[in-house]
Amino acid sequence: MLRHVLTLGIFLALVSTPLGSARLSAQPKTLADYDLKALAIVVNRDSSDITVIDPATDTIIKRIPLGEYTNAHMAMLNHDGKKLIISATGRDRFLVVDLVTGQVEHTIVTGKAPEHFDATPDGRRAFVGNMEDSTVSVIDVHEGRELQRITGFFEPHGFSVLPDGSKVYVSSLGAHEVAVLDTTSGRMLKRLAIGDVGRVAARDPQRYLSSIKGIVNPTLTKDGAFAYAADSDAGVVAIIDTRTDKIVKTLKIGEQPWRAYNSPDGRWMLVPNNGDSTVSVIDTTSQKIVAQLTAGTEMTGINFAMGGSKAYVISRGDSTVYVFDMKTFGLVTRLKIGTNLALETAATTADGTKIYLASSTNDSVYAIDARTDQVKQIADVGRYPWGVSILAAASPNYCH
Amino acid sequence: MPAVVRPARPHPVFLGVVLILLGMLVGGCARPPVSDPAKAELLRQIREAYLFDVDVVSLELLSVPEIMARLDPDTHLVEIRRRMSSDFIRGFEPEGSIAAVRALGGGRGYLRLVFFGRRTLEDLRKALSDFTPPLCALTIDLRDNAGGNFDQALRLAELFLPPGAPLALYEGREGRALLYATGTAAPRQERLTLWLNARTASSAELFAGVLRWHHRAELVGAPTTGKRTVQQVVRLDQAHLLFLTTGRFLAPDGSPFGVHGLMPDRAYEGDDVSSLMAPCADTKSLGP
Repeated sequence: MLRHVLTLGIFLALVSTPLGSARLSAQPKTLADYDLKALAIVVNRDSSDITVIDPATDTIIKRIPLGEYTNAHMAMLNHDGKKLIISATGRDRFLVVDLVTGQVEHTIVTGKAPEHFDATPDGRRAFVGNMEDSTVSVIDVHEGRELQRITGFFEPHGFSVLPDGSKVYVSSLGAHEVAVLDTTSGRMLKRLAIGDVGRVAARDPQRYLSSIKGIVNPTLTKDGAFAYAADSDAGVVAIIDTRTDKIVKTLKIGEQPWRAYNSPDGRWMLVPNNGDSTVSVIDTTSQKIVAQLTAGTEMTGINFAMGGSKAYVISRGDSTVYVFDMKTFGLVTRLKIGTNLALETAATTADGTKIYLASSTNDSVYAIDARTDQVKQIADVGRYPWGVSILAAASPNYCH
Repeated sequence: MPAVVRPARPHPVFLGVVLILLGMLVGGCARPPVSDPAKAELLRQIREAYLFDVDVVSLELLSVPEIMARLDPDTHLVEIRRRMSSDFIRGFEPEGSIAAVRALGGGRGYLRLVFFGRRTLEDLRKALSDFTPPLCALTIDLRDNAGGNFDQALRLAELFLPPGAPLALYEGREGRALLYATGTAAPRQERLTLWLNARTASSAELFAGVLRWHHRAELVGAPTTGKRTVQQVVRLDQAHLLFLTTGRFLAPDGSPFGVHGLMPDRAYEGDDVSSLMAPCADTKSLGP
């Protein structure tokens, strides 16, 4: 009898241990278990939510709903990686979301159609461009309130806060200018005129030319000493000295330049020119154009990988990523991601080995392994993924 | 005893009114501050860039519409169109300046150049590269083309001309400057027919005029509008762009490209593009 009991007990112990282990390992991880700064944050415009992807496994680990009709445009983690700050374009709001709990902590009223923004390095203040009423909202992120709404812009599209947090550069897409604001007072310190629309000879300008294609973004060099502002109409890049806020040089590049993207080592600025499908390579030391690369149409972003040795140029129009060697400026390969895909923006992982690229028309994110240039699809991330950001990214984050 | 009649003293209120009126009169003679930023910008642009001589002081008391009414008819104030669809990225909107591209057989091709936009040169290059085999003759339909980007029109003309060819004389406030073809590529060799009508204007006339001046294209159709001025575009306020006349274009020798618009080499009122030019083997080349 005792032998039977012992045998049964041993049997039960042996059987229950794997089951117990399975229960323990099935316990789901929370976001708190991850390195938040390494996670890929995807903003889905049409499903009004955020998708979080773990780059270690290329899997979706969380979806955070933002509320109906939010149609968020840009989302990024704040400086400590704990909060998501998001422009809720569809609701004229700015959101502060706790990443781990997914709770919306602050809903802040802004001007009309907030899109792009940047924050001070301490995470305290955000400067948000309201595209429909051409104002800039100054947001206290911690307190969750709008401090100021500054007027006098023309579709404020691009924002760059200096590394020391003292000034923010604001580019207007609907005018040929970059404004400089003091981040503490919100005071406009200077307006810099850059480029122009050129000459027009038209009997009916209202029909075709009643808009200005100005400046998408003032891109700072790695040390913040200069800002590079490309003017689409004029086909030039103006180099602004941020110590004096003067334009020190203007370079003629290609047709309809989009914006400058800075390499992680600070050595290069790459500017895609969507009017002639080229990419201008500018040496930031000499401030000269050193190469003109042939790429694709409707280029919406450039990501650097593998320590900055490779540049990935995203062509929305060609559904293709053009990969360039940053030592030789030669074309390494063309990654045809699909057919009729609208490729949006991407983020590079902290170790520089992978790039996560949003593809809006098929609701996917593509993971590009920069070591092998193999591409993997992560499907059903949400409806109309618009952008990806990673806080600790090896290549600067951006939005379009 | 009769009442003492003292001389009347002006009432203080009456005196105050008189003083105010006097002040307004004096103030009106002096230059009032321009409180409207759009008007201030308009006056500044006229002072610094407007092609024609105008007494800016006499404009300062007028409203913006009144000022505009006193400028040349080619200077416009245009309301800004803002497309707020979420289905496009600003700056990537399809332009559509090249349309109806098709092969006509016999080595001939046709396309419609609707206007001169920001990407017209690139779009034209792409359209031409899509023809296989390459063309030997091309009709560019400029009917109803109201013009557009001046520099694009010059760059398009350059495609068909050798490097260094003079294009046009540009006359601005600072004087005249001769503009040259600056491209380095070999010029395209297709025989060109440019189709015009009465609504072909401005940059379209410049494009056609430059090519005809170099005997590089045959013009067919009807006489064009005859608009030769060039405007510079300035953001006036949140809602308006100012297209201000700052120059005009002439042929390289200083003559106008046509006195009252361009006269076609051959009149044509029909609509049959294939009858406009003969198949390639039968026709003499119209090279420079």
